[in-house]
Amino acid sequence: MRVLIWPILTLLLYTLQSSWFLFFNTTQVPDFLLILVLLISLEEGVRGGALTGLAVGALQDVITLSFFGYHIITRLLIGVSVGLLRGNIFKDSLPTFLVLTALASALLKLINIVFLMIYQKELLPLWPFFYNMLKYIGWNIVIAIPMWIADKVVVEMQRRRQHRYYEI
Amino acid sequence: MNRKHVLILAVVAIVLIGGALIKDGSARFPVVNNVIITVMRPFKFVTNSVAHGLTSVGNFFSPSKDLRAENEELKKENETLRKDNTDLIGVKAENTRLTQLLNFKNAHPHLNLVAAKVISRDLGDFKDTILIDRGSDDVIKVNMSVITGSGLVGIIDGVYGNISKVMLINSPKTRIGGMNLRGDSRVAGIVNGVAGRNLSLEMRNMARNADLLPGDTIVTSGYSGYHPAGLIIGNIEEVQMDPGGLTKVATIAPAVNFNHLEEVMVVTNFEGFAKSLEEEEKKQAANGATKGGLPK
Repeated sequence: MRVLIWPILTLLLYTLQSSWFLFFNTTQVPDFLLILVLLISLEEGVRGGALTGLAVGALQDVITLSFFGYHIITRLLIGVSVGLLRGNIFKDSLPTFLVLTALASALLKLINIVFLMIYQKELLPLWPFFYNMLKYIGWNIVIAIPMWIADKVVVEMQRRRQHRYYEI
Repeated sequence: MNRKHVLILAVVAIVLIGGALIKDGSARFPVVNNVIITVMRPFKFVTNSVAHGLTSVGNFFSPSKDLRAENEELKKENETLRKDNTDLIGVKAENTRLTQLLNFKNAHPHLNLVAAKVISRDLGDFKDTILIDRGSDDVIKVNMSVITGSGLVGIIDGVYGNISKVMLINSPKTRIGGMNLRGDSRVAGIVNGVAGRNLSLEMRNMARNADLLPGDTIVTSGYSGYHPAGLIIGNIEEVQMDPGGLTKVATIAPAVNFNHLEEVMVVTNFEGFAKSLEEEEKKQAANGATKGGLPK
């Protein structure tokens, strides 16, 4: 049953992300799945981060199929990088996590523009990308706060449960 | 599996997927895609229901101040439209051809339209696909045109039971035959999306002396055989020579606002020549294989 929780949570977050416009009529949506990759990479390390990045990227790639492989590579890169760096990140601090979210979001947008420039073989104007990047970072930071708190609550619950077993 | 193995696996995966990416994503996984879409359907149903419920409650409690402001705005818009209408009547005689082509329903009364709701957007980083709530059960097929009252939205890219995937025309991967609507121009080219430039489009492959002016309306040419001619794509914003100086490139502002798509229509009964050509090619291939297999 526990094994099913992660795919269901991922699908739920993906559905929420792609239906965001029904709740708020915005031109930019928060990337719930990116925050999920960041949280799991910080908790589980390289392996967990890589697997989550791979799964999340594959889901996005299989659904869109516009540029197959793009999401897998970028999410895998984020998962592995954060997993490797987690020893240098104070993961229990919310401000640190928000900075990490902003950096990861900016990195994804940079990869996006570089990829599009290579694909279209021309220099694209940077201002629209910069503007979109700011909106993307803003939304991700907004949504990162409740997701970080939810993650802490779940981790704390697991810890208490384990302690109870040890006491028994 | 230690960290080193994971890293090696990641590098191998990146190299393999990078190869696939360079090959321009020719791989397709219809079975996997179908399973994921089917599993997502209940989640989507729940989120749609909750969202519509919340919107209804929000509308019920919306303050009358907003309604008054909206009323004022609509009155102003009405005045502008009346003025535009008067202007249009004045130049009607000179623009008979333009008016006829713009009046799409009169020019194509034979087209069947199926209305659909957009149920998913922003599926990936490129924002070039959407999901609609009509599928093969509603006779939707791949390559059908998707439109709104404003113009062409995109092309059906994948069909499932009661969901279809639409590739928007602003995707860098989309290629559609376009034509200048202006009667004394009629220049044809290929329209594709340009990511990053505020969702604008480009029309390419036109002669260096092609007659294109900012403000001209671009419609589908129908030369591909997949889509009906005369669907509005957008208006020319800028015309310039391509970097090589051999052909002209026009930047087009799409007629459709892709950021606020909620309802669309699918043209279901257009039978272009592309399908019959494909069938003919298949027949020829089959005949060739049969002949090749016969002993001499």
